[in-house]
Amino acid sequence: MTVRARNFRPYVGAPTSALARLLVLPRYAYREVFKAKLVTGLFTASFIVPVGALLVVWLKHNLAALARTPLANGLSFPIDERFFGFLLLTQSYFAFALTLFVCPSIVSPDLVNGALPLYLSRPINRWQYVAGKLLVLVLLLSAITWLPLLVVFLLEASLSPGSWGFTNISIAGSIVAASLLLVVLLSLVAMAISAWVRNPSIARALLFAGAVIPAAIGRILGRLLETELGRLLDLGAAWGRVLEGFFGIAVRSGGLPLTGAWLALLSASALALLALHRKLRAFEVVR
Amino acid sequence: MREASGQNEIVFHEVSKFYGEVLGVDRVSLSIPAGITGLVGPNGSGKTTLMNLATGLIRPTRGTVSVLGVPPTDPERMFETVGYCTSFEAFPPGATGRGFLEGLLSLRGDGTASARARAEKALFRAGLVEASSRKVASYSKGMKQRLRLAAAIAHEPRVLLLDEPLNGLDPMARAEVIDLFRTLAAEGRHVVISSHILHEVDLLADRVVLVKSGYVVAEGESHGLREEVAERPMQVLVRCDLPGVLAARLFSSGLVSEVELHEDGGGLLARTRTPEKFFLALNEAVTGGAVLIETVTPADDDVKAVYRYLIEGETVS
Amino acid sequence: MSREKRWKQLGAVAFLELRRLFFGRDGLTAFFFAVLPLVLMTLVVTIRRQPIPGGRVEHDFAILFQNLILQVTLYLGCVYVFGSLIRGEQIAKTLHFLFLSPVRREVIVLGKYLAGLVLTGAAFGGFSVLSYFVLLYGQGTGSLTAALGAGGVGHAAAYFGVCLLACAGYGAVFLVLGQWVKNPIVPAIAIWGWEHINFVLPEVLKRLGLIHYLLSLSPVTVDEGFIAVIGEPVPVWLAIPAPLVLAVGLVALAAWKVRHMEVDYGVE
Repeated sequence: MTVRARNFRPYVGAPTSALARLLVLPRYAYREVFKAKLVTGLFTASFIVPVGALLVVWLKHNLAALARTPLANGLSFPIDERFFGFLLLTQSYFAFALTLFVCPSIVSPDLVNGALPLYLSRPINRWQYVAGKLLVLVLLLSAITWLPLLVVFLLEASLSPGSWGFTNISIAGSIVAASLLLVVLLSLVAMAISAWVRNPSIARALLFAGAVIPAAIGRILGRLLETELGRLLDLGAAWGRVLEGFFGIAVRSGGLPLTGAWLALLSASALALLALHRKLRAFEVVR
Repeated sequence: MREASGQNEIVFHEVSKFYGEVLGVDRVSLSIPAGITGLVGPNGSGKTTLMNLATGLIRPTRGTVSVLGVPPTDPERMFETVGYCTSFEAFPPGATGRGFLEGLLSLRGDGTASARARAEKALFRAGLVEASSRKVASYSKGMKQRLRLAAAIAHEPRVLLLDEPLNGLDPMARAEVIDLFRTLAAEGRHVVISSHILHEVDLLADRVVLVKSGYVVAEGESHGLREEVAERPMQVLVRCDLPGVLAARLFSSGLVSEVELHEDGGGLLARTRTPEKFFLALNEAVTGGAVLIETVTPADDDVKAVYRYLIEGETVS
Repeated sequence: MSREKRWKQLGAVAFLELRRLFFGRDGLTAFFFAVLPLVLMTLVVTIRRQPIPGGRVEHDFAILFQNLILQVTLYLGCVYVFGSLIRGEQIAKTLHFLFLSPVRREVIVLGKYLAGLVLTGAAFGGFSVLSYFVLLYGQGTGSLTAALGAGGVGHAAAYFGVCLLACAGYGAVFLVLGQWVKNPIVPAIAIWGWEHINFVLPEVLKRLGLIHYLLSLSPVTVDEGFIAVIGEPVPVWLAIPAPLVLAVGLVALAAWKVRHMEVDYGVE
């Protein structure tokens, strides 16, 4: 037998930074995500309301322009916490719809096609993988939630006389905090379901079910047990209650306790992380 | 012109298949008789497309296909006589090897006892009896390949289409499976084997169909195929005592296009486009006492040579 | 091929599909959806100390049946089970095993549909009736006996029948969607929205929603709020055959489609 000289030498240069490696995931994911016309259409549609809000703010401060519109008698509502709270609530539906269509298609195929072991055989660990995929959603959802709403806020601040911006700086904080909470919660839950069921269509169905079933159960329990606690199962309602807490307004969540809403959101996030810990592995046990 | 209704053949008549704008196969006309037929070509050449067309998993964009006179649009009749071992790797989740086979046989209308007996026989022939009670998900690649094979032969079909059937098998298993193919062919069945690994088919097949980029570039018996490649010169190795004299004789009769004399002065390599006349001329040279010939060996009279010519587009140096 | 053999094949396809559904994730999820109302009712009767005020029980269950079972769990269960009968096998890359058997493709579709119908019908119908009985039992054994005597059995049978019709109708819709659309959840959400707003639609448009026919057969009518457009309930002679005719038509469409279907997992 010929024993050949061992001349293989591993790469000894400096690897790229962990962040650079992690950013490879979103780069390729975005390319895939925006191949779907539905996602591109939905993403574009997500800007209709913020653009409308920008227009409303501008019109309110340009009476001459306003006089030429059907709203010549003026826009009666003030630009305040309630305005931004409703704006964010509206954007949350778009955020949910985008998550529904985007997340399963960036996570499930990796698990079905055996791509995860390939990722994990590179200098990237499980949590970096999660962070990379999470980044895809966080950036996408940020672009339709807190970023456009902050633009609306800045326009209002720049057009308002005096120090409206400084006086209402808490609104900007609430926009960012409530949005980020929504974005992280949606992303984690959607990733966990996508990793768990490994089939994009079924993951979407389950995500949709996860939104409508608890809401229906909450309503039934409210009627049969005369309690609002059942609505804590509805993460949408729980997030709505937290949003009310941030903005100091009442929008949609009735008598839900704020602490209970926070607990529901934190428990859901913890469960999602646990599910990801269980499911995102480089190997699979066949029983 | 081939008949599309060959009662004892697999017939492709002017078949084209396009996947959108991508060409699968184009204008394929073939008649495959009983025995072992090798379908050879590189990956993406259209071998699987041809098999899928024959079994109706995909429909031709143009042309007709029939297997023993039955069109793929009539699955009830077709799959009584056809078994297809696909290269798709998946199996129904949760199934054991035996349960999977018995389920497939029950679809054929087999009762429990009959399905069990036929499944057992197929598992035995495929060498999978021991592992048959285990979940398929725990099988190795080779075991899954054997199970696919067992599924294809369980109903004892007259026509067996095997897409890359030796993939994933270790050398021992390959030998066993090749023996099984020979046995099946000897029983008078049609066995069509696709492969991109040439020597597998060269050793096994009675006939070879070479496919490249969606076109059939050659077909015929393995050794006869070479003669059909008229535009390529055939190489013949001749060991003799006077290679210079022989070369001059061959050149003067215009039967060779090129001759290389061996450095040891004991032979030559001739390239001819008219092999029959060339061999006749060699006989005359011997009988006339002009040269003493030790051996005459066709240097490229195998499928590999044709493959190299037609598929890899190489000229032989 | 003999008719007897074809029936045998239909049975075999349905049996294999049932086995796939029972032991696979699809069936488990449908079971989860189906059992949810029962769990909820058990929870309610366990937690609630006093009986529900008289006369409200039937009405409250009707709300649960309409808002949770028909419009949510059964609907989603049907999306899940019927949408994956063909599409699921395409995604799992196992459809060719059926297509390479000597079985007419129409028989395959019919067998799969029947398996889905048996599973969802039994699960949603059965657990709905059980939930109804649990709620009645929670009001005391006397209440249960009295309710059963006063038409409760008929109500239970009606709930079961409505579930069966719903599974037949929605099932056929999602069977077809699973074949025609790559991502059936998108139209499923759109149809869900349409069914959900049925109560505010004018009479003519109401009749374009399956839910209108199903609710017309429901034994107890539910007040749908002040924004609802009150319409005439569909008579029984029309409400029962309408979903069945829809189902037969759509299954026939699915059978036609499957004849021309190609198995090419590469482009999935």
